[in-house]
Amino acid sequence: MPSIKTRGLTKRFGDVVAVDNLDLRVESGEVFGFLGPNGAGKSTTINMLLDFVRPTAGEISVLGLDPQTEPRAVRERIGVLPEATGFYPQDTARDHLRFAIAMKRTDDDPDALLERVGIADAADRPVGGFSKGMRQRLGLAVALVGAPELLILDEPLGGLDPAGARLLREVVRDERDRGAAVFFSSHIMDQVETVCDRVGIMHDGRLVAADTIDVLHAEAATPATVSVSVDTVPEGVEADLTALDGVSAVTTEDGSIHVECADSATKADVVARLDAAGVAIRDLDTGAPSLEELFLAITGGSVTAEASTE
Amino acid sequence: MSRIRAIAREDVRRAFRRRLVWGAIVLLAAMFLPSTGGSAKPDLYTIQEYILLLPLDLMTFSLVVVAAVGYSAVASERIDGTARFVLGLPATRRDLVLGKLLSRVGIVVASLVVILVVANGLVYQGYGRAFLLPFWVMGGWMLVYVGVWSAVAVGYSAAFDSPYRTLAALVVTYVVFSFNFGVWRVVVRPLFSLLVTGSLDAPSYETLATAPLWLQVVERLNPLVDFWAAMRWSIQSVGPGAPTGGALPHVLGTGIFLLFGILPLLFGIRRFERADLGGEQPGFQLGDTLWRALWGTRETETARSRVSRARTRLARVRELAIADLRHTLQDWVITGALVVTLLLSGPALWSAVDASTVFTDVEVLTRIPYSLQLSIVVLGIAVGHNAIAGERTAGTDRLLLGVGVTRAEVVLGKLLSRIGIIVAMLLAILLGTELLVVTHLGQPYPGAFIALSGWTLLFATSWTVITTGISAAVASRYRSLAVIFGVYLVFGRLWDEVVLPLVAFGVTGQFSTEAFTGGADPPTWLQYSDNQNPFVALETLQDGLFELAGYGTPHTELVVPRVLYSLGVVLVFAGAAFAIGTRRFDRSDLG
Repeated sequence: MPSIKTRGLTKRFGDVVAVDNLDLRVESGEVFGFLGPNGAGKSTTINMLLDFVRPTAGEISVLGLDPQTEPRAVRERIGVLPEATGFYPQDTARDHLRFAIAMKRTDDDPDALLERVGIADAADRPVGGFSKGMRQRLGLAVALVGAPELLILDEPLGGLDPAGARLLREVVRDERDRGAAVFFSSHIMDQVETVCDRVGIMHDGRLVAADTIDVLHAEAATPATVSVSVDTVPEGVEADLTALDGVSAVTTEDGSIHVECADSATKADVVARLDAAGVAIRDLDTGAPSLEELFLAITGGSVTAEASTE
Repeated sequence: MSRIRAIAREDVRRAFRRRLVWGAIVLLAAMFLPSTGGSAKPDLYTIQEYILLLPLDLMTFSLVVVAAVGYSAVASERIDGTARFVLGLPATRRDLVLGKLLSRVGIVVASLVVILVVANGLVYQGYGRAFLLPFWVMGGWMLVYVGVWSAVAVGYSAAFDSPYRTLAALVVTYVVFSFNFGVWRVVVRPLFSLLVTGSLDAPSYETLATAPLWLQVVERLNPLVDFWAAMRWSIQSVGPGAPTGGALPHVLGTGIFLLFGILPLLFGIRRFERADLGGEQPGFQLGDTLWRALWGTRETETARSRVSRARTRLARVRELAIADLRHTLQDWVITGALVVTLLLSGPALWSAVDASTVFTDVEVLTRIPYSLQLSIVVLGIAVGHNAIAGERTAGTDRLLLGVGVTRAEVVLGKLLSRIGIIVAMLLAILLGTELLVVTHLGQPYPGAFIALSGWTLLFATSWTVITTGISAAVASRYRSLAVIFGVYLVFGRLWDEVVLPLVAFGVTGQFSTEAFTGGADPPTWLQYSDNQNPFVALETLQDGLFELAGYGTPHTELVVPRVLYSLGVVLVFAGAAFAIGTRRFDRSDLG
């Protein structure tokens, strides 16, 4: 049974279509990155999964339940970090966790949860004085109460420093290893690709791609690159390398040759050809396209202006 | 422990940390207990009269606590985003509303119990006996009363997405059903009378049981009438006194009163369960669209010239005032206040401007200002209290100051806009009043109209300057409201009891002023001391203006120096509030 399943999910705000006919499936035990720029419809989708916002059309199933008709049953089994969630400013972090534990009827230890997200030393401070990153960590701790079967995290990286982002990735991996599914959204694409089993890319309210990153790379045909630093750029090297199968473009600068390869395996051929031609190679840099480049390739390079719906 | 109780328990803990809640409870005690203690005298009232007198004040005053405790119960959770925190846990929206209801009813009931215990002590002190049974029958009914109103408040708070809309809905509900503000008496009752008897004049009655049957049925539709009748009958049933009629109508009436609380609660739960909590806006709302439609043409015509004119200081202030006017009219608080003002002043004026066998036309005309006072006070608070403090809370003050205007220009621009709104509103009401004068009294009385208009606009302008000045002097809307109510309390209610006795002590060596105020011609020192109160000064100006226009009554006498002195007091008071506000805003940190 999938952890999340939507069919034809649509949400309109007046004339604005925030989410358009979304079909999505997240399997249990997988980490699914829900990506896209601001205004793509990610938060609206998550708000519909959590029954914070009601769909205009379509169906939603979370852990096999309809969140609109069985909200309590859904929330007993999931952990939630909503985007821009509010906290009670005069309550401490421990107060919030005590309340969450009482509501979830579990026997979690608030201190252990705060320790896990790295804010144990701020347990008894009012949340009103917390930085944005500390609030995110507290929200993550609340989401972890009761070892939920599904974690839904909306922009969990927002406001986190590099150490916080690394901690989040570790928590996500640990939760997946425990058997939980993790569904999280982000517009900071390069920070999530190492942790996701699959990603879905939203653009203008539509899901334009959903698969593993490797498959998406292959489908998008985004070129791999190899940059070679040399003592002297030999005459006619551009024509020579372009003649190789799988090479799509060659450019040269003073002391360096940049090659784009439609097929990643061609990179070795490029190096071999240069070596055979007696070119003294000083340094070599190969790279796969980033998730951000992948996104730009899939969406045709257009990132819309921020819409009012997120 | 059930989840509703968990939510309620946490909410009680948080609510008791709010200064607004404590302030409202202290205010209720301050408004209710002194007058209660002062009236607990057997030579003034019998115990039967006294126990029926207590709820009359308490029914109004206790609603201050109900409103302060309940108006933001659910709506603030939506605004602060904490609703997402709670609903991310295993709680339904209904759990949240019911938890809030449990908590807020508990707070209000507990506060009232404490105040009633003190009041019962005052009864014991005054009458030598506690009269426990009739007193606590009354007390029990009052606890039900605040419980039902709390349900209304929490229901509205769940139904609307802003605390201010909730507050506006509460005020409108109270104004419609209350005995004090006459919408029921002036609008609803005459309409039914017209349907049943063909005349707008409904018969008057002393007790509901003696009214014609059709009127009894109509009155029973008003839940506050039902409450009052049932409470009165219950108190009289346990004695002293003898109840009129049987229990059945009161049982039914109690049912209607309880429905008065249950229906808004169900309405609120239903609306909250269907609401989107994502914070998204569907674009322009009605107010924005109307404003843009009205202002759009003018903007296009003058766009080019406005760019050059905005280089002068005056033009910048004008631009600020226009922008503020737009934002203010798009604000539901202000819109609600305008509606409430109409609801308050319309019925009051309708009753006041009526040919009378007791009063002459001149007396009727000179009493009209009393029907407008409350409306002006409410409107002035509504348009002024958040004028500058709101910009600071929202952070838009930094946006304004970032586009090349000074803080003084911000205050001035906002003041002009707010005065413009209140003057426009009151001019409409004044024209309506003149229409009533012509139709009810048969003549236009132009001199009285000019005197009334001059006094009304002076009162409204000076009060708005004061509220806006206070708004500039403090950092939040709540502090602004607290200071404004403090000013109103000192000059409106505590002046005669506290300030004047202190002045009298300084002059005569005794605190009592009764010996002087009772006479036809109070001593000069008392008159001029009393006129240092801006509200008293405005009354003096009111008398002076009517006298000047040829509408003096035997009670008024034009004493030019005292009128000019009063004018000076009003101007100095308003000017000082503006100067202090501007100065404090100029020196405040806006981080």
